[in-house]
Amino acid sequence: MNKATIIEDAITYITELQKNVKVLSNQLMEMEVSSIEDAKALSKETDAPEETEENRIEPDVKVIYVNGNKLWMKMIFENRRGRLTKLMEALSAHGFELNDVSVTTSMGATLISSCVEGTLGEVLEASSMSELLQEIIKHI
Amino acid sequence: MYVETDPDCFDPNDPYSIGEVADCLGFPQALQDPHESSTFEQTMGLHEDVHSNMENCYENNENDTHLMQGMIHDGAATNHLDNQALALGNHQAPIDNNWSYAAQNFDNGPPIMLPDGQIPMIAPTLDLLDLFHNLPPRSSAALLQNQPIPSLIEPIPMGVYDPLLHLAPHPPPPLMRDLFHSLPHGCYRGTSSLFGDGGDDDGGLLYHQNHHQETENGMLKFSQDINVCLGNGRERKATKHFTTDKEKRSQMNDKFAILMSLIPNPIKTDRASVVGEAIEYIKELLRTVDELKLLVEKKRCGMGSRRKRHRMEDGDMESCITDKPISEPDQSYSSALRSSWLQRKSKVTEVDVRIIDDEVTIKLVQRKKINCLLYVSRVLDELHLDLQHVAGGHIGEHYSFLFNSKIYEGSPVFASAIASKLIEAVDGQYAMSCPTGSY
Repeated sequence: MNKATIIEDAITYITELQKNVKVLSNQLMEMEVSSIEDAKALSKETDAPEETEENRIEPDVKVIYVNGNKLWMKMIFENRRGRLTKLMEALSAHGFELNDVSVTTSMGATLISSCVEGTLGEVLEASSMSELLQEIIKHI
Repeated sequence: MYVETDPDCFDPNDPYSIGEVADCLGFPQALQDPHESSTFEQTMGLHEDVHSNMENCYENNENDTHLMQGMIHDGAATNHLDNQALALGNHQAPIDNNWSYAAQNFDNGPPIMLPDGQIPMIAPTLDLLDLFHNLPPRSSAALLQNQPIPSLIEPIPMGVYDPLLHLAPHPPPPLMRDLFHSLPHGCYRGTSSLFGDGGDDDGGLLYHQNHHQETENGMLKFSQDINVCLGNGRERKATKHFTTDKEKRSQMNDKFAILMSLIPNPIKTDRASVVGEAIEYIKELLRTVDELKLLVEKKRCGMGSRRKRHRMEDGDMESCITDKPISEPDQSYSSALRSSWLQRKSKVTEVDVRIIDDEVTIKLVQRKKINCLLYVSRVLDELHLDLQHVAGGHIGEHYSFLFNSKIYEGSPVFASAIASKLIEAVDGQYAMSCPTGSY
């Protein structure tokens, strides 16, 4: 086997594998489409229990002023799908950025601990940020 | 020595006159690079010969595929062929990159011979053409701009595909050995699917690559025509060597270029890293294929059991297994632990995705200063991943994150899809935020 053959075989093999991947993933997509109704029926069952649970998780927000335009915040809220993304979208809409983030989810609750920085350069206040965060939680 | 349709416009020794011809024929000169004069001249030399022989052979072969035409990529020649191809009808859907001109139609048109019976360049096989069809626009553009002109063609190494004839003069370097080992060891089985036809032997093993049963653009029977042409007043002997070192070097370059184009997001362009990345990519593809097979099997089993669950409230798993009493591999798939991992790098981002069962762990390092947390989180939502843990922050010039998420039940997501989407999203964001920065 010389270099040229090896390279050519590699090219052939890679293209073959890529084809396989395509075929398999198309297959998977088709199966996914046909099983969507089943999935919907199931998801109705699984979402319901979360809301009827007795020990609901109360949202909790703590904000501390660090310096300049930096605040430290800690939030606990109930874990639902997509909530984290919505939270970050809401924050970025207000011009805030999360830095040095730590998110943990356990037993149905999400804990976020992070620095919040204002991207617009204004000085932030802890109390107003705290209110803002509580508002956001209510809406997401 | 050669006949050119526009003798006034065209002087073979003057590369710049190609531009005039191109202008005459109204061809955009996107690909023309007069700076690459050396390879250009080489191509021009071939170009001359090609044209002379085109005239000679035209009477002999009116129809069928002629990959030779694919070799001519520079402005006028492509244009010339393009006109021919258009005139003769076009089987191929137009593709954006230049290869389309070559690939468009080879059903009709003369093969191209050199006077001494050598074929200067031969276009690659169906697989490689498929490859070019599948190329993302960015990389094909890169290919066009960075490579010397003949590079889109893969010339055939003489005698290489015949295992009997091939002799290795010395053991290949270690990296190549690794690449070789990562290929399946009946590696000629790959070639045998290409060369299934066998065909004439005395036309030279050179032409075996063109025996191809199914091609989309009808590149069939090329070798037969070649042989006929060769038979005209010449010895039907296979010349096994490209005589010049230049040609050998350009062949190797072409092959490396093709290999590089197959690898997603190649970082370095030197040969050794291309081979290294090819090795990793092959392994990654193998894992992905395994993962997908597993997913398909699980889904099949899962679909069966879910439907039964709706109809009758008990015995789900049993019904799943009894659905497939025969096939043992299916059962092993559905109870196997799904695991896969892969890494992808782009210029500003590195992604490491690991999947075990229904959990996905993603490590993301972003080399420049944009906060990608929001975008990543959006992408993960789209991929039906439920974020459970996130940790990360700003270290020096990088943002580094670790994401741990669960796959929603029944979602057909797999590792390489996750990685590609992430890189795409993050790089897209980066590009948007720094439009003038060097990418």
